[in-house]
Amino acid sequence: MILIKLAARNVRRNVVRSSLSLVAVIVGTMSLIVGHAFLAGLRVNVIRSQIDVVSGDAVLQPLDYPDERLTHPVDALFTVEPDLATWLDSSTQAWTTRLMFVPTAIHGPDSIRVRGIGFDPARDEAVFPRDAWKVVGHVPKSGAEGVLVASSVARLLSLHEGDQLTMQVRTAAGAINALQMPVAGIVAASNPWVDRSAVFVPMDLADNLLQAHGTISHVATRLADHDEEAVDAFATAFKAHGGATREVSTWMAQTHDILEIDKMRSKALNMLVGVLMAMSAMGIANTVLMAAYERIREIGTLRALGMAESQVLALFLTEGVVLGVVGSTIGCAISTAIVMYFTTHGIDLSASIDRSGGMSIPISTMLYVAYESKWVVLAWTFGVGIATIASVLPARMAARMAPADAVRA
Amino acid sequence: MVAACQLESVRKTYGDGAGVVNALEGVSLVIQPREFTVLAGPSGSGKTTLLNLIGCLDQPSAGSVFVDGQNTSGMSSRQLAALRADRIGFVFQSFNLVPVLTAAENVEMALHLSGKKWGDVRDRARAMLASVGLDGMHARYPNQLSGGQQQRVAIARALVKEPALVIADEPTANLDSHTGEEVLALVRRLNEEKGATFVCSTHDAMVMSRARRVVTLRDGHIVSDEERA
Ligand SMILES: Nc1ncnc2c1ncn2[C@@H]1O[C@H](COP(=O)(O)OP(=O)(O)O)[C@@H](O)[C@H]1O
Ligand SMILES: [Mg+2]
Repeated sequence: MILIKLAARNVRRNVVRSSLSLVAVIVGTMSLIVGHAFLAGLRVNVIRSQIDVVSGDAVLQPLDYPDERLTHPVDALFTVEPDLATWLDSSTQAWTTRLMFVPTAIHGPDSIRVRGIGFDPARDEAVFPRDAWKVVGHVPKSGAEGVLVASSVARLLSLHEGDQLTMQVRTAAGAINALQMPVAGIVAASNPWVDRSAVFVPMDLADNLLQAHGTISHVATRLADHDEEAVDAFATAFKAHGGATREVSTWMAQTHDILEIDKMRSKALNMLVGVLMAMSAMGIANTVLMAAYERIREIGTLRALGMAESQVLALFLTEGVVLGVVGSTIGCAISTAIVMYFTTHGIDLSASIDRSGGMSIPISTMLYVAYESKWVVLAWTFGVGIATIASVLPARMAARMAPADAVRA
Repeated sequence: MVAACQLESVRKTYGDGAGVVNALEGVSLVIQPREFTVLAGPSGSGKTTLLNLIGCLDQPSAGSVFVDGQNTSGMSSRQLAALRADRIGFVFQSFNLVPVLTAAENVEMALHLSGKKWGDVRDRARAMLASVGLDGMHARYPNQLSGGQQQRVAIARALVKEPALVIADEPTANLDSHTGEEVLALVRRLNEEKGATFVCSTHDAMVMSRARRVVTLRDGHIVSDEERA
């Protein structure tokens, strides 16, 4: 009991030194927890955005459909056969068709190339939820009502609800066609893939513009279960029903490149955490070593009073472990608070996405970090473990000092 | 009756090769229970070395040391620690109280470390502090006490576990002469009242004048051993 009291008071003896090693442990644990929470949040964001905004869980598209920026060829359009429709009805939670194209949008003297999204007004929302959308005006229910223009496009072309927008395209057959259509609404979807370039065109109007005769470029599907295995199994069956000239692409395939970068980020973060933890280990080892050197005569006194080597070892080990436990606990508590806050209060990324010129990265501009308790457990264990290991050598040095020499010091 | 401590032809050397120092050579000495023995001799004569051997902080290079009837040669560091915890009290020149513990806790520490059961450790520690004249000071930390008071705490810490032997290495050297005399008077009183055995090193004439037995060392040898009235 009195030994625990002694160890606890010893920790507070050199407040500055103890605080410094505490800070090192706190920073180490925090970087692990907060860093991984942000990475996990980013990962979830990328996946959700892909599924909810771009492709659904799996998309059926023409073979070798390109995935470069703002490229949507219309030379291999197809129709959904009744068989396929029936199968999709029974195998998905929802499915819809889209006709993707890249028209030139013209208003007054200004023109830009945009992402034309021909959508089925009756089915689209079931696959691509609109919870995050902010619409001025309304979403058109048919071509007669006009088009829905993304906010950046509207800004660049000085478009307002009710204005007339001219869209010019090369049709499926290669001819040039242009139509004038009213702006039914302007949408901000919190997602650059939409906001930077999209114009939503009701399918009948898109069909008319492209002279597509009922053909489309995408069948997008939404499944009850977004789990990778379930989506893969569905994709295999989808491919079998989709025919030889079409391919199925899952959200996993579409996000693969971005998530690879994410894995590298995760490795880089772990290395950084490793360096920080090594620094806190050195801090704690140094703290315990300095404590032992400063107190050589005190160690001698305690040994003269009959304290065993093992008790001296325990005394100094406790000092390091207390630093580890206190530091890790504070670090875990602060990081949990930070992470919890940002799981409910998103971080607005739109500014930094604008700056990076990320034309059409499919991620939500609101980043919500993801809390994963495993990182907290890992960080705490790691912090305490490192502190303990770092204290062993200096504590042994203290314990093994010859008592006669120590009292003379 | 078992001697409190007995040394037989003890030698202690430090270092090796050319730098070897014979700190003690051919020292034999018997100290009986309840004795108050003073070790005298100039600085470097081997007083501390001898006290460390008697106090089981160190072991002789040759010869044997018996403490409370037990031969310390061949004891492990753990056994020596247990023997110190149980049978030996220490008083140091510069007090050596644990600065983060109160006066009472410093005394309690000795009880906790000793192998015996002491009943109410707090009460015992406070009673001991009262008997060295520190009534009401038990909650003070060492830096809130004067040098003389700190040495009294150290004496209380040494005596509280009723050791076979109390070893005091120049206990008055860091005190002014008046305080030194008070502390020595206390030690003499405890020696008589409690029957504690003291071995005390000094080169202070005042201390030597109060001793019944003065053993004088020079260059690691005992040069005189006189009983006084
Ligand atoms: N740890 C040590 N290593 C080497 N020499 C030592 C050591 N301790 C003491 N000595 C030497 O032993 C001799 C006796 O020292 P010591 O017992 O401290 O004498 P005193 O206490 O009478 O002043 C001195 O010459 C001293 O230098
Ligand atoms: Mg000395």
